[in-house]
Amino acid sequence: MTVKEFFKSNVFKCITALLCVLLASGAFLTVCFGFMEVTEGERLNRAVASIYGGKEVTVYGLDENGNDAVIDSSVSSPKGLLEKPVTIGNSDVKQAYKVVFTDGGKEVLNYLVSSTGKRGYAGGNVTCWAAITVENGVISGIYKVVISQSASQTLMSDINGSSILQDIADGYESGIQYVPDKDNDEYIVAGATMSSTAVCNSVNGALSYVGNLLGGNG
Amino acid sequence: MNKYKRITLDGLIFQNPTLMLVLGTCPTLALIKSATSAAGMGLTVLVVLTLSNIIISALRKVIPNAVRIPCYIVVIATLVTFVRMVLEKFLPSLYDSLGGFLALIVVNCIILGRAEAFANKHTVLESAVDGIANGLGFTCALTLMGIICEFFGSGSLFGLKIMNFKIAMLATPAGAFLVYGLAIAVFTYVLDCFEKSKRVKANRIARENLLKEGA
Repeated sequence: MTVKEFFKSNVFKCITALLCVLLASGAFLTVCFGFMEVTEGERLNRAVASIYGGKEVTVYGLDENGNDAVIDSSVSSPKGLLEKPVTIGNSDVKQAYKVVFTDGGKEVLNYLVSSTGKRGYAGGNVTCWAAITVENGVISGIYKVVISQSASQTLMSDINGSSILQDIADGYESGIQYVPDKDNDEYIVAGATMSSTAVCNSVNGALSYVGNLLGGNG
Repeated sequence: MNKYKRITLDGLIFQNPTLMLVLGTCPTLALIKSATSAAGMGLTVLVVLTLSNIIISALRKVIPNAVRIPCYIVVIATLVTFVRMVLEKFLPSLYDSLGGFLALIVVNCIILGRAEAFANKHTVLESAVDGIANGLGFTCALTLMGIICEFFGSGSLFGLKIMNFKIAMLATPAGAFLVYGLAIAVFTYVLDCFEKSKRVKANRIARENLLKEGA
């Protein structure tokens, strides 16, 4: 087949058609992503709404001088307490913010930490937001844990609001690390490729990070 | 019968993709335990199906036959990715409830099936009507089964608690399978009765006409 024959052949038409469809689709999705990207600010707002419901909360990140700054919800990428993700054990702590709200007339301080727990079933990860309560410079408990929305959806997101995450939050004792107990089915839950091991690793990472932040007062 | 009416009735009733053709079984069984998820999945498939039918019909004379399936899959995958972006941005709760089944719409046999069987042989308007009809048929079937499973399995309806009595099995995939099978049986029976009454009526009219001619 000569070059001229090739350009007139059906093979060339097929390759051209397929490439055109691919390029058009890619361009369309790129444009759409520019308009419909979910920003860090939106993810933070969703986590705050999911954890604190209708409560009035004030979220603090860091300003340019390293001081606490109230988060401006119009900012697309609010600055948290971390410049870049920190690896602690089997988790990567991505972001942390301070949250202050009033509960029963009392001012409560939480550290809202987003961390990705690794080494779940089949090596999967789960990203959680953990709200850790701090009193007098010491971790006093876990307010709530929710699964973060993530690009790789799994059935694990079904456990948001379930008793498993609440059990993890309620059962906190100082110095206890969470480990799924296979003999007692404690904290055991599995999605298609992920498990409560990754959730526990995420919570443990968040606890360790906040403990380190408070100078070892975990 | 008007061709658009025929296309609509086929998609909604006579060739219902869920209850007659038994297509799209995977999301059906996974999501009918909740009426909200079922309705959400149905509407998402409706949008993807309609848009994919329109685009594939518009490109049917341009795409060579040899590469039509890869092209259809690229188009469908693009639309599903677009819908995922829209849901994640504007309807995060629906995005979460659909979970991994949102991405699986790409390989939903209803969409590729209608693209191959209808959209690449008919005009854009006919394909759009077919997409909407089949999507609505899928949505109605899923939502109805979702209502049954959620009401009897969890005692609630669209998330609102109605009663304390519940048959726990119906909230599981096994129960969903049972409800699906029963729904197919009931739907087929009702359709058979309808077809039978139509045949009886047609036979009676034919006999009367014969008698009149004989007289």
